Amino acid sequence: MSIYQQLFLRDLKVSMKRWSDLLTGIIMFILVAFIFPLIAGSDQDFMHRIIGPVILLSSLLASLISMQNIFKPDLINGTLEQLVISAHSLNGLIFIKILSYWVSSSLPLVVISSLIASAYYVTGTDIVNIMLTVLLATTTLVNINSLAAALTLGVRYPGALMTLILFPLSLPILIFGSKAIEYSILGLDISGPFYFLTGMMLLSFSLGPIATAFAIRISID
Amino acid sequence: MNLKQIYKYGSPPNYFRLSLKAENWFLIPGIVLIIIGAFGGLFIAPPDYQMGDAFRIIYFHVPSAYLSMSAYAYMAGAALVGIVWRSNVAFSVAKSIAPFGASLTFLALVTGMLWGQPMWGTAWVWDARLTSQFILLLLYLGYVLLHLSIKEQRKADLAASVLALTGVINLPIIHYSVVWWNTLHQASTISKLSSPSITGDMLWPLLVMIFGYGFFFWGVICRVVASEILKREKRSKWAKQYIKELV
Amino acid sequence: MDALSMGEYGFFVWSSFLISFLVFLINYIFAQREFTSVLNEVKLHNENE
Repeated sequence: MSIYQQLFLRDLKVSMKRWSDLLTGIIMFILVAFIFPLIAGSDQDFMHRIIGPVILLSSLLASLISMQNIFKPDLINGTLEQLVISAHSLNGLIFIKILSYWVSSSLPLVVISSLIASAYYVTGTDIVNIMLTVLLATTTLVNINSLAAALTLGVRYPGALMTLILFPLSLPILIFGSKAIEYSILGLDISGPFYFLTGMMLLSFSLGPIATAFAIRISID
Repeated sequence: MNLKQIYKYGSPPNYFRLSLKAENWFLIPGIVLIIIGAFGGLFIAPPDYQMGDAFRIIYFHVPSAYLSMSAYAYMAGAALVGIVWRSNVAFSVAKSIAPFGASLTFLALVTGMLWGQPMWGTAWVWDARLTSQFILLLLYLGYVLLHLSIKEQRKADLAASVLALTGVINLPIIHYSVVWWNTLHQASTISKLSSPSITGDMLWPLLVMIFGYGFFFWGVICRVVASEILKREKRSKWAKQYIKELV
Repeated sequence: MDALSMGEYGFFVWSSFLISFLVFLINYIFAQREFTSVLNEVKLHNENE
């Protein structure tokens, strides 16, 4: 088994052990999506209009609240340092870390978004489109989150800083993600936004780990 | 052209002296141009046919908006130079640009709101330019905050520079995507501020102000860069030398 | 005076002018102050050596 496979499996096992950390993000996702109909009205047209933004906003907030769990635990127990000084390419190792973080934190969100979509009176292929949007958007979000987490690794109370870094960088994803969902519900051609989301996913997964690895090296020294 | 003449300014003491010498060469033309431009814009330019005297805000709004964006580009360029060449001078320049750049963005937003209230009846509109200016402000603030939060200076420099660079990649994407989004749902009722069909009498104060703002900006930055370099190198021999020279 | 009222838009135009002026002034003053304080710091540091 190559080092990358080992790291991937190890990260998955570790995040399963820390399932309560995973749950924070998932619960945040559900709660935000839940709150909107309760406080903003729940007629079908309105729900169809807001589901795009709500899903994207929930993903953003869920990722924000669990951002510290990407690197902080490994920093504290020394694993991150071992990765940095190891002979293997840090870019590759960080790529695997981000990938496994995505699998453990965002894959459940993809499944849950289908339930939320049907709670918002969405039917048929629209639900599949919503799941696909969440899949694509969270991949990019996870990379941006990793970058923000890596940049603020040495900071003691990084709360405001994380939000400030995350928000401008994630704006295009939020805009195009909600547009994708909106187009799907309106019955328009969804290929435009989806191509953009896919493009952002590829861009962020190729450049993200490099930038994140660089930032980790800075923070760890 | 002797490259060594340029390379020597990569060293802190040389750049320090250069920026102190250059400061007044930027400040004085800047102040003069701003006075001329402001006078021309406020009093000489004729009132606009449709907008009356309120359009004069343009003479404060456009230069600050334009400069806020180019300042960010300079900051990102300095950040890149800093990362690639590990240059303390470049990092000092980048760090010095951020606060003034942020205040220019703030100015652009505020004067924009003062424009919007009489012109459109509302101080804020969710269109591409306003929102991307606001995003720019957040990018600047994030940069400054990151610098303040990381105690060790080398780490702070590198981390903030990474942030500045990712912000640059982001800026055209944001502007572009927000434009696309808005044109679907809202008719674009915003008049383009940089319309070329603006008469000469109204145009020249604008150009003068743009240059004046730029010169003044760089004048202030010279002083701030000098402070930053001196702060970083206060234990060095050349600093001691400089202090002796002053007395 | 006509210049002071600027049509009915006097408040907006002159506030823009004022706030731009203030921001520039504040930045300039801060730059000068910072430099002199760094200079004093270095002087102190060298005297203590």
